Amino acid sequence: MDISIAALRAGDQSAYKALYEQAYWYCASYLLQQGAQETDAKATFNRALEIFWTKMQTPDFELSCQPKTYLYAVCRNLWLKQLRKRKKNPILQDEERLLQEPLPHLVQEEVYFLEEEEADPLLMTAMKALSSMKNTDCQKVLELYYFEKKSHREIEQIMGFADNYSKVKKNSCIKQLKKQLLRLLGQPKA
Amino acid sequence: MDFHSPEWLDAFQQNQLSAEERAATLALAQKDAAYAAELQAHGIAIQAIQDFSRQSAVEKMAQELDEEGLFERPIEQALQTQAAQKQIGQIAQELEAEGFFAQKEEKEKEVKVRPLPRWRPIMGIAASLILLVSLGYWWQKSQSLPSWSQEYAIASAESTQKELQLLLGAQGFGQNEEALRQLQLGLNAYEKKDWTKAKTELLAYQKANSIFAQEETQFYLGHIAFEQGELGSAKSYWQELAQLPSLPPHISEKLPWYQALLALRENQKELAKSYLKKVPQGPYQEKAKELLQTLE
Repeated sequence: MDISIAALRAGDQSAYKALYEQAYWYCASYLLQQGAQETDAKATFNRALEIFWTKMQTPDFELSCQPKTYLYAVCRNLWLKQLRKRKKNPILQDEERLLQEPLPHLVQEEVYFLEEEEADPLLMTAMKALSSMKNTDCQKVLELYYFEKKSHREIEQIMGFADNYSKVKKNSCIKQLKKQLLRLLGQPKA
Repeated sequence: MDFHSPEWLDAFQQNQLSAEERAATLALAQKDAAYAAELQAHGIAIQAIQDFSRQSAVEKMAQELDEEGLFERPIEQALQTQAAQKQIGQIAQELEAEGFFAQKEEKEKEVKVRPLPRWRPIMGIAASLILLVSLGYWWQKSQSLPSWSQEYAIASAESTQKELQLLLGAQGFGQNEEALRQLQLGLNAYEKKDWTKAKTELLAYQKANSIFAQEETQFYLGHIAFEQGELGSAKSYWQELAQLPSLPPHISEKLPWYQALLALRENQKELAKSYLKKVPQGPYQEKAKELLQTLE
């Protein structure tokens, strides 16, 4: 199945699922050869797909290769990064050899991208707060509005809300989330 | 203008304000630290919602694909299929020895429902069928075989005899273990530069129509032909490969380099230059640039 770049750009979930199916073994076979366990391979691939998805939503991002190749490069980068982390612990000879391999340009770019993200405590706090909201109406409304870009009318239909309630709910939920961030930023009110 | 309203803050984060409105918002943030913090918190909250949602969506996809069997290892499945095939073959032989098929033909003539044969082989067949059907999805995709597992699903509502006939008629399993062995032998010979043996094994592997490492095989066959001076053959292997919509990076990064070398062997300097320009970033690019400079 051909996966349209336009569909990936638009965040079409069925296109990402097709890409997952197409690229998983392509990337996992490399990871398994490099000593990853199956759970590592799955987690690494999932993370790579999230990164790719995020990148595709960035307006100035230009994809210069096949999505599958991009995912392969990101998986490789993530796995090398993982090995670097483990370097503090005794590591296998084979891993030593891998660590000496130079990182291609694409992979380097992704390392910076990830390190930046991980270093942001505010984002981590917000993610944690969202995690505690998981499967609540708040989390669903925020996801529908900010991720799936649904209109308030559509959200009301999906969630079975009364008319004009979606906006009220969304505003109250994001306020709740911001409250925790503002506390960290040293501000008293949301 | 309510600079504090969630709609205003959303519009700011999503670049939906006009240039003047944006400038006014930034000016306020510069004057008012509390507003600057609110603006920042709003942006981070949206980013977190989007990241979190993507994470959940990927997890959901993984779960769905897991249920569809994506994470079952293809090579192991192939070997399991091989084992299942052997088991089926053994059961079929056993049944044949018992005159099962002869009885069936006779009964067909009589148009009577014959009682089921002995329980033991039937239970064995059922266990094998379950294993084979679970492998069917991957196997169909990888080997482009007739959709026998679907046929089986339809037939399963019918008689056990029909199921057995269907399984015995299914072709194509049992090759894979042998194919994988040929690939291994071919690669070993390739590494030792035993081109003749490598070619024999890799051609046999390619003909076995396995899904694994086909691009690599095609590349190696091209390289073997190149090393053996069969330039036309090398060219054809690599041209076919270059026409594929996507290649593994370790092949795509070296293919134009080798195509350039081949063109040079044939004294096609301009063609070689065009290939050298196509060498992507990677271990061959520097060499390609140097060679290109020399040629120019």
